[in-house]
Amino acid sequence: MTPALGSGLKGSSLEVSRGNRCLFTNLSFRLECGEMALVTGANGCGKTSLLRVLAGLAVPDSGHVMLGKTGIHGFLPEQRRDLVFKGHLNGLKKELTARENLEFFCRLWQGRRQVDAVLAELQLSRAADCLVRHLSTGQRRRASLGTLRLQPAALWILDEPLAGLDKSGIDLICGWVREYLQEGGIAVIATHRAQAFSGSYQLNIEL
Amino acid sequence: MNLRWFHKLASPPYFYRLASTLGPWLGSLSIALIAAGTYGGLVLAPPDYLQGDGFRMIYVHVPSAYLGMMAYVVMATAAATGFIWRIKLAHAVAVSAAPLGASFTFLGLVTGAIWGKPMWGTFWQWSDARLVFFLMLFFLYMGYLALRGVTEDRDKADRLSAVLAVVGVINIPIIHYSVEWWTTLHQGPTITRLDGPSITMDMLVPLLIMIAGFSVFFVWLLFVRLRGEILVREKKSRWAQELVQRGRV
Amino acid sequence: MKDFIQVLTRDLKVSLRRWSELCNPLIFFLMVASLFPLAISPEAPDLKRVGTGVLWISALLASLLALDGLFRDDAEDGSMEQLVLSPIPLTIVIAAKILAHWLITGLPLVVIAPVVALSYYMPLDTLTTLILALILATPTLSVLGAIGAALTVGLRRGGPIVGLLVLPLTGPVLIFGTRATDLAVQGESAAGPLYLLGALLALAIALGPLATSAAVRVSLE
Repeated sequence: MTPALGSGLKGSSLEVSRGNRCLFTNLSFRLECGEMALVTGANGCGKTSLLRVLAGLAVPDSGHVMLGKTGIHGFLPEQRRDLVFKGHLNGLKKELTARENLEFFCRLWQGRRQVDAVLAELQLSRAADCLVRHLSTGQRRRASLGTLRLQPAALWILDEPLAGLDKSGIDLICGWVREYLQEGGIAVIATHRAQAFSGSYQLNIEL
Repeated sequence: MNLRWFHKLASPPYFYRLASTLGPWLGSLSIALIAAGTYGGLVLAPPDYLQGDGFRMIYVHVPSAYLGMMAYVVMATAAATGFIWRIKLAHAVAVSAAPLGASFTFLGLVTGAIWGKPMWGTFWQWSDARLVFFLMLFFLYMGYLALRGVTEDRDKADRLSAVLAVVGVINIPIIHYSVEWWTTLHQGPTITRLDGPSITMDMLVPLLIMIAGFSVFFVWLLFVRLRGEILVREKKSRWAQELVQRGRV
Repeated sequence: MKDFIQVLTRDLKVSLRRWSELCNPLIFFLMVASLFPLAISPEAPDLKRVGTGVLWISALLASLLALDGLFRDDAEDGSMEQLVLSPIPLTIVIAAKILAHWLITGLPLVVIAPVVALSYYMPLDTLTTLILALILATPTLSVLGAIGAALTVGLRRGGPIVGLLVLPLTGPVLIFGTRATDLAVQGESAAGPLYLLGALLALAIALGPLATSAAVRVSLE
């Protein structure tokens, strides 16, 4: 999963407001390959807004985000293959099984790993053919995070990935993050459980 | 040079001052034009050989309908500009133009109905394509305002309504060409014809003056609304707060 | 193209597994068409005169009703975000979703419409024209509806105004559709309006997904 781009993630003078309230202004940072930024702060301080701006879902009031040499908003569709965004919502269709959901992602993003292998890692092999509607919150979250392993990507942007997971799930995801960083990926993760990632991150953006 | 002027124009405080200065002139000009056109239309123009004096409703109906459509084009263009180049002021222009356009359209519908009853025997004619599409224009305005009303975040409202405005702009050429495509109560185009207007000069001139007067009136009202809109949007900025504190709004 | 099929099949799969909801627009269509004789008159000559209009209005309103599900589910479970960020151009994703939606809601309408037409004493030989006109018109209505659905999907109170946004744009479709049907009832060739319906459909397919994806992006911001 080595990234295709050279020079990392750069945010310059980002200013984001929500409604009439300015959440943060003049935020700049830089991440090289293999580095991770942890985004922390109280509820409502703008963690999700920042992550959505970094992913290209929202446009900042001022400033810009660059991945490698391209601005995030100038990404061509094929280039979006290099980016994974996981928000609060799981992005799974309830009427499909976990396996069907992951297979869809795999085909769309031309994933390289086998869906069965990923399901095994997530300990969802037995539940793989149940409709997502019938899975528990934790199982749904695990299935949703399975796409991280499927998609080869240069940048992971995760918003509270550990929410709803039990201890083994947390360990699994943290292990994945460490492995991903070792392979040269860049990660920006917002979480309330900073201690789970202690030792892995180089930068702490506190809003 | 061109781009610098455009940049300056897109700056809210500059445009606010411009609109405040030009406002009174536009107001006086529009009143003068409308007065001249009214006099010309009611007094100077000869009675129509078919409709007698009743045709004089044209001097209110046509400018209203024309402005109803023109305001939509202004609204859609401004909204598109704001959407593509992210210019906040353009969105302010669009939202200021909308209620004005809706009012002119309504006026056009009402004056058309008042004119229609004595002339063609009916307030309304569903088989008239131009009428129906003009009514649709009114609904498009209402939809635009409804969408803005329901969206809580102003920036989102700006951008969503911009998409709606641009999609609806296709109605304007439909209204214009509907008299050629379908046989309707409305006569064919009398002014914008390739072989010259088919209406006599002494009837035409007051009409053109009225159209010009209504247009200037629209711009004047647009500036009035725009100034208020700019102040609301920029209320956190220093120049706006100083202006309000000084009481020189 | 392959991606288009992927999105299409997924949407169809999801919709078919919620098949009980699929019937709602169809039932609505039949209900509305059934209410008109109660409101106007059950006599054959009266129904014959209003049949075309009733059919088309009912189809229009049923299409409108079906729109809500187009984007709302995906927005609520986060699939829309993922599709916007996917390596497929959003326009293609939207086009696939609209097609899936039409196959599930519009096509059944076209199949049922002849039954309603016959109940309004429309002659048997008009049915081919009617079906053809509906096949050309209902996808256009789906595209126009998609624009409205995309504009309101992110809004809390957006549901009730979708109709207000979409209906003014459906005028030409309605005009040509009813004209085609009326010509067929009179025994004349309906080629003119049918061609125009086709042109409208082409225009809608060309521009609709573009406007819809712009609206979806803004709704997700």
